[in-house]
Amino acid sequence: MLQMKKIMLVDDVEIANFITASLVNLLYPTYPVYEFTKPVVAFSELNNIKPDVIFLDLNMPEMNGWEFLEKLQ
Amino acid sequence: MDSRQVYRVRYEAFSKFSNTLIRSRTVDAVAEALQVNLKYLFNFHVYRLSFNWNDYIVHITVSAGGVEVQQQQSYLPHELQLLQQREPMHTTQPATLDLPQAYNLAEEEQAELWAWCFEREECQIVISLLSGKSRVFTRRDITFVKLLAENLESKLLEICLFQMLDKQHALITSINQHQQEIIEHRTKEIAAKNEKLIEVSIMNAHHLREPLSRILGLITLADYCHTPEELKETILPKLKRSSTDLDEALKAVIYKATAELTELKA
Repeated sequence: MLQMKKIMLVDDVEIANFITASLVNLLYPTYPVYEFTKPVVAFSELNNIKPDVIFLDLNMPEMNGWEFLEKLQ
Repeated sequence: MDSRQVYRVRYEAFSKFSNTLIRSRTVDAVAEALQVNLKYLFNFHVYRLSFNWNDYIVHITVSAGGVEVQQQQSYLPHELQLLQQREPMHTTQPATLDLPQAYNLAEEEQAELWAWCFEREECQIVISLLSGKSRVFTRRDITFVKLLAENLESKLLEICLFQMLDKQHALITSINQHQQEIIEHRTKEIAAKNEKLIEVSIMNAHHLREPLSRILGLITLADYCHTPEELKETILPKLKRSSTDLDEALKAVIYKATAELTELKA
């Protein structure tokens, strides 16, 4: 059995998160998916969630994807 | 000293003057050469040369007071008369002519005014010479005046042509520089326009791609809906929203691209 992975989605467009989450659910129905439209909130939740995979949009207001990654490093 | 010896000395003086003249590159240098050498060729109180080529006029006057160069039209009355009649002039009554102060000599000096007009192609050269009892000028001296006139005419014409070439060269250089500036300016303009067009294309691609990708994603998900209700509740509202977003993005892109292209055309 495949090990369960936690998925984090960060995209300011809600529908984009919905599509990605739906596709992940179709492929891996048991994987928990965490959706965020605000990158700042997503970043603050990183330690709590400890995701295995992050789907990160690059072009976002407040904090773009590159800044998110820099901060993460 | 017999007359042959006198001629020999004068020819030597003339040769020396010719050599100086060859090296002269300006009207001032010609005037200086005249001031230094003319007295060795013939006697005079005042020697005046008026040169005209294509309305380029120069007057050089050599007298006891030195040498004077005028580079604008200031013909003396007897010179104008000479230019009209084109016949050599000789008068023992120069006081009757309207001449400048330098031509006024004491009565006992018995002043004489000689004047000649030489023409070659479009060149005109008028020579005036004031002689007197203490500085005698005779008809035999006219040979030297003519020789001198020919040399001066050639030299002044050469100077004029060089000046004209310099002016043309300066004009061509200025035109070239101006054209170079225009080309550089246009090149910069074209580069800026190209950059702007690339920006417009990138912006179009990016802004349109985003809602279109969403629509394609939602259509893919629609295949996995189990019931029409699920499709109606979950996919259709999002599809509607994404279509509206695509429509707005298209409008914005068209508006912005039109504005940018209008600006580029201007």
